[in-house]
Amino acid sequence: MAATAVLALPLAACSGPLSTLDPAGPAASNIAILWWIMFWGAAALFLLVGVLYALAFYRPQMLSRFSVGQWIVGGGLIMPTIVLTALVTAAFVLGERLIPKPMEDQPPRVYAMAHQWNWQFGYDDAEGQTLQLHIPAGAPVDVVVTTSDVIHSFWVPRLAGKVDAIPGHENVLRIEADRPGTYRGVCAEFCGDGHTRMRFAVIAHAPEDYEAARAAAIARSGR
Amino acid sequence: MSEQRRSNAIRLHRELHDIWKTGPGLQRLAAVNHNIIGKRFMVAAFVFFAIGGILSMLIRAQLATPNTAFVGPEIYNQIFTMHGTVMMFLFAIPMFEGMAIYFLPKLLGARDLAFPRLTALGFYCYIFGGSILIVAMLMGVAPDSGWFMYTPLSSSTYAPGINADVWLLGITFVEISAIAAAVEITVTILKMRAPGMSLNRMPIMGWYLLITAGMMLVGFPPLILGSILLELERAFDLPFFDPTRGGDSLLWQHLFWLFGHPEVYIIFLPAAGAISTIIPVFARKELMGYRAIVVAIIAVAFLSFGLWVHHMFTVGIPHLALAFFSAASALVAIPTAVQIFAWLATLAHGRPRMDVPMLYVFGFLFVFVLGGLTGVMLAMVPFNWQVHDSYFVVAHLHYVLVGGFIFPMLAAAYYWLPHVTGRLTMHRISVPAFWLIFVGFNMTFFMMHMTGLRGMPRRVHTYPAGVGWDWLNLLSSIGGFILTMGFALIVIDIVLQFRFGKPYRRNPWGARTLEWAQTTPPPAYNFASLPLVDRRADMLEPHEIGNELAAGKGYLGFTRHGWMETLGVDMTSGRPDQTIILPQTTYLPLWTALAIGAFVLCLLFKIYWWSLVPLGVTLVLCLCWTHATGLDHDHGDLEIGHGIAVPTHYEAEGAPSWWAMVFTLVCNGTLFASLIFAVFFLWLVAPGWPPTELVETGLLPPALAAITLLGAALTARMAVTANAQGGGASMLLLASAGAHVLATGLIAYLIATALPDPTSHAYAATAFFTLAYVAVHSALGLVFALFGVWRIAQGRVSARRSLDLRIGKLWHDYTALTGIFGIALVLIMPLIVSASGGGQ
Amino acid sequence: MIAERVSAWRIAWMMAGFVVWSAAFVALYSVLSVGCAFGWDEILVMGSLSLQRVVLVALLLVSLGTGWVVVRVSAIHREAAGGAGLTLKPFVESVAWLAAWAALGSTLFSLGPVLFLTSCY
Repeated sequence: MAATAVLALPLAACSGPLSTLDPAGPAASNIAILWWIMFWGAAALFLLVGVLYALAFYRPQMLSRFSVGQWIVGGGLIMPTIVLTALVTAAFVLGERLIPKPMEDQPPRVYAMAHQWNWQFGYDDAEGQTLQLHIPAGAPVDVVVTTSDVIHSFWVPRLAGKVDAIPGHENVLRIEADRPGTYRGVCAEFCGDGHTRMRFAVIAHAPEDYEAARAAAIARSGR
Repeated sequence: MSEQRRSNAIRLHRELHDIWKTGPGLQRLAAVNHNIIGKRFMVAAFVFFAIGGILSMLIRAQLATPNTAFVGPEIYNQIFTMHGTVMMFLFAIPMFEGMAIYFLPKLLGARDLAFPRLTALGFYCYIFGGSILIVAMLMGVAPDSGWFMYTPLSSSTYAPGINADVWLLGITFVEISAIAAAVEITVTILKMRAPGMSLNRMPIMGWYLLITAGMMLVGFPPLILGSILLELERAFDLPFFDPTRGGDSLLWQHLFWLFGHPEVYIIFLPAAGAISTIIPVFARKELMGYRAIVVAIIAVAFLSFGLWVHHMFTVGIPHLALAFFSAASALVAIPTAVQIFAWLATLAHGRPRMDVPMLYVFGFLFVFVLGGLTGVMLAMVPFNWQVHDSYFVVAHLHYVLVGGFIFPMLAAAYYWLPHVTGRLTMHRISVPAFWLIFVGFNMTFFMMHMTGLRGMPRRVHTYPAGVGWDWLNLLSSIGGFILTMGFALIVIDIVLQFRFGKPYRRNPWGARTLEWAQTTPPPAYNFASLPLVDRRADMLEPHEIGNELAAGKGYLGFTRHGWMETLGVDMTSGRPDQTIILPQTTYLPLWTALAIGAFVLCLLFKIYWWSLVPLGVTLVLCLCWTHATGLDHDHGDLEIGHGIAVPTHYEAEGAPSWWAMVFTLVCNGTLFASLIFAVFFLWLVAPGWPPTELVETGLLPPALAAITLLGAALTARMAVTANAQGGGASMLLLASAGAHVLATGLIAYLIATALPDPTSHAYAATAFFTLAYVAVHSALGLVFALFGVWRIAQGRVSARRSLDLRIGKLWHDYTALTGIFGIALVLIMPLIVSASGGGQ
Repeated sequence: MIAERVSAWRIAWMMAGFVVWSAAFVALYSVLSVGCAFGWDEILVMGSLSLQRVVLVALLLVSLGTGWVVVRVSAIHREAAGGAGLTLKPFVESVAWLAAWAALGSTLFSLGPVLFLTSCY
C-alpha cells in the first residue's frame, strides 16, 4: 500500500516554471499526454507483477495451475509484445508530428547560439541579437541551435523537448507557445563550471506586439 | 575400511594442499589462486563502493537545500564525475568479476580458472588503475568532465589540466582487467566444466556469465578505442574529435555509448544470474523455463548493442534512425519479461520460503521492475526529448542499476557469504538493514522522477528556490542518509558474521549446485577429485557428492609430477578431452602490472620517450610468463581416473590458451571494426570535410606491404604443417619473421612519406592511426614468429605439442586480414572523398 | 580434432539469428545515414517513392529473408539432431532455433519503422 501512496505522489503538484507537466505549447502538451498514458500503464503493470509475486509467495496453489509455458509465453512474450507495439506506434506517430519537417507555411527561423556560459539569440528578419529568445505566440517557430565551444542543450520544458547544441552542427527544434508569456529555459547538457547558471527565457508576445518588443530587446542588448 | 578411506582422503588432501597452497607473508603477493584473487576483487570493489557512496553523500548534502554554498562547481564537477566513474568502473564491473572469479570454477566443478596468472594480473591492473583515480581525487585533480567525458569539454582546449588524462589512462588501465576477466571467463565456461556437464546441464549462472563475458569482449573495445583516440588528441593534437579540423564530438558519443549501453546489461546479467540461482533454492523447486531463459539472455546480449543511440536522442539524428533504437530499446524489455515470468513461475510451482536473501530478491523485483518501466518510457523518443538529462534519468538509472545490481548482489552476498566464511549470518541486524536500504533507496530516488519532470537538469551544483524542487531534493537527501545507514548496518552484519556467526556443516540452504558440495571455507584446490555430472547441475545432491569427491572417488583424485591439474572438456557435450596443467604461484603478474603502471604514469606525466622503457620491460616480462608453460617431452594420453585417458592441454586441439587467443582476437577485431566505423562516420557526418590534402601512396608500396603481410601469415601456416609432419618449422617461421620486418618497415615508410600531417585533419589522423595499428600488429607478429623459433630450439614444441605455433598462427592470420583491409581502406578513402566531397 | 570444430559451430549457430539481426541493423542504420547525407530522400523513383525509401525497404526485405533462412536451417539442424514439434530437445539446436525466431521478430519490430516514418528529419 505504501507503493500506491508513493505512486500517487506525482499527481500532487505538477505546476512550476520549468515543469514538463505544466505545458504551455502543443509539443509539451502532447508529450505530457504521452507521459500520463505511460504513467497509468506502468502503474497497472507494476501492480500486476506485484500481485503475481505476492500470490506466488503466499497462495502458490492459485497460480501453479498455469504451466511454465503459459507463464513465459503469456506473461513474458505476448503481454509485453502487445503493450510495446501499441506504445511504440503511438510514440512514433507523435514523434512524426513534432519533428521539424518542411511545412507548406514554413515557420520563421530563429538562431540560438550557445557559449560557455550564456545564450545569444538571432533572427532571420532582424539585425542584432538578444539575450532572451523572443517569439510570436500561437505559431510554430524553428529554433536553429548550435554552439561556439562545447556541447550545450536548449531546453524550455513548458514548450517542448530539448535539442543539443553540437559544435559544427546545426540542430532544429520546433517550438510554439500557446499564449504570450515568459517561459524559462535551462542548459540541459553539462558544459563546465558555469553549467548551472546558464539559464535563459523564451518570451512569447502577442503577434501584434512581437516586432516592437523584439526591436526593443535588441536595442537593450546592443547597449 | 572407513578408517582406511578417511586416512586416504586426508593424505590426498595434504598432497593437493602442498601443491596448490599460497605462501604466507609477502608471498601472498605471488598468489594466483582464484579463491584468493576472487576475494581480493570483491573486497577492493567494496572499498571503492564505499568511496563512491561517500561521494554520493556529498552530492546529496550539497543538493539538500537550494542555493547551498557547501562546495562550488569546480569541486562538485569532480565529485559527480568520480561518483559515476567509481561506481561503474571500479565497483560494479570488478564486483561481478570478483564474484565470477571466486564462484565460477566451483559452480562448474573445476579446480581453478583457465589462466590463474592472468587473474592476478587483472587484479593488480584494477587496483593500480583505480588508485591513480583515487589519488588524483585526493590531490584535487580528479576528472571533472562527467563520467561520460563528452568532447570537446574533455578535450585539451576546454580541459587543459591533467584531470581528463587521469580518467582516460586510469580507466583504460582498469579495462585491461575487464578484458582479461572476460577472456578467462569465456574460456573457463566453454572448456573447463566437470565431466558430463554438457551445455544443457550447466548451472544457469554459467550461461549468464558466459554471455556476459562474451558481451564484454565486444562491448569494451569501442570505449578503449575512443579513449586511445581522445588521449592521442589531447597528447599529440590528432584532431579526431575537433570540429574545426574535420573531427566530430559525436564520434566520441557513439563510441562511448556503443560501450556504455551494453555495459548496463553487462552489469545486470550476472546479477540476474544470481537471482536465477537463489530463487529456485528458496522456492524449493528447480528453475523453470531454463531454455527460455537461455534464449532470453542471448537476445538481451545482442539487442543491448542496438540501443546505444537512446542516449543520443537529442543530438539531431533523423527520426527514422531514432526509431530503430527506440524500438530496439522497447524490445529488450521482452527477454527481461521472460526472465521475470520464469522466476514467478518457479515461485508459483514451488513451496517458497522467506529468508534474508529472498528479502533482497523482493527488493530487486520491486525496484528493478519500476526501473524497467521507466526505461521503456525513456525509450519513447518524444518523452525522451523532454526528460533526457533531467533528474528523471538519474532516477531511472539508479532504479535499474541499484535494482538490477546492488539488490541482487546483496541477495548473493547473504546467500554465498556462508560459503566464504563457513558461518551463518544473524538475522537480528540483517532484516532491519534491508528495510533501511529499501526505504532509503526508494525515498531518495523516487522523488527524482518528479524533480526531473519538474525540469531539474542533471549535473547542476545548486538550484534556485521556488521552482518546485526544494522539498523533493530535501526528501531525496534524507532518503540518501537512511540508505547509507542501511549499508553501515550491512557492514557491521558481515563483520559480525565473520567473527561470531554460527558454524555449519555443509549446504545450509539446501541448495543443489556443486559449490555447496565443498567443505567451507573451500580449500585452494576446490575439489579433491572432480565430479561426474549426470543431470542438470542445479539438481544435484551436494551431501553425497561432497563425501565422494573428498574421498577422491571422482576424476583426478590423485597427484602426479607436482602438477596443478584440472580437466578440460568438449564444449558442448562435456566429455573430457584434455587435462589442463595450471601454473604455480609467481610474482610475474605483479611485476608486469607494475611495468604497465609505470607506462601509464609516464603517459600521464607526459614524458613520452621515457614510456618506451616500461613498455619494453612489459614485453620482456610477458615473454618470461611462457617460461612456466610447455612440456619438454610428449606425455601421450594420461590416466584421469575411471579408466579414461586424455592428453595434456599442450597436446590437445582446443587448448584453453588457443581459445583465449581466438577470443582476444574477437575483442581486438571489434576495436578494428570500431576504427573503420570512425573513419566512415567522420567522412559522412563531421563538419569540415573534404580535407584539403589526401593520402598519395602510389600503388606499389601499399601493395608490397599487403603481400608481405600475406606472406608472413602463409609461411606461419606452413610452419604449423611442417611441424606436424616432423620438421623444418624454424626456417619457415624465420621467413615469416622476415616478412613481418619488411611489412612493418614498409608501413612505417608509408606513414612517414605518404600521409598529410596527421594533426592537420581528422582524415589524416585516422589514416595515420589505421596504418599504425597495422604496423604494431605486424611488429608483434615478428615477436610471435621469433617466439616460435625459440620454443622449437628449447624443445618445447613437437609434432604433438604444437600449441605455441598454432596460437601464433592465429595472430599472423589476424594481422594479415586486418592489415590488408586497413591498407585497402587507406587506399580507397581518397577515392571516396574526392568522388563525394563528404556528406555535409 | 573434428569434435572441437563441430562443437564450436553448434555453439556459433545459437547466435546465427541475432548475428543476422545485427548485420541488418548496422546495414539499415548506415544506409539511412548515407542516403540522408546524399539527399536520396529527395530523389523520386517509382512514382512518389523516394530512392531512400526503396533502398531501405529492399534492405529490410533482404534482412527478413535472410533471417527466415536462418530459421529454416536451424529447424533442419534441429530435426537432424532428433528434435520435433514443440519438445525442446536437443538443447543446443532448439535454443538456436528459438533464438533465430526471436531474432526474426526483432528484425521486424526494430527495423519495421522504415515502412512508414520520415527518413531524414
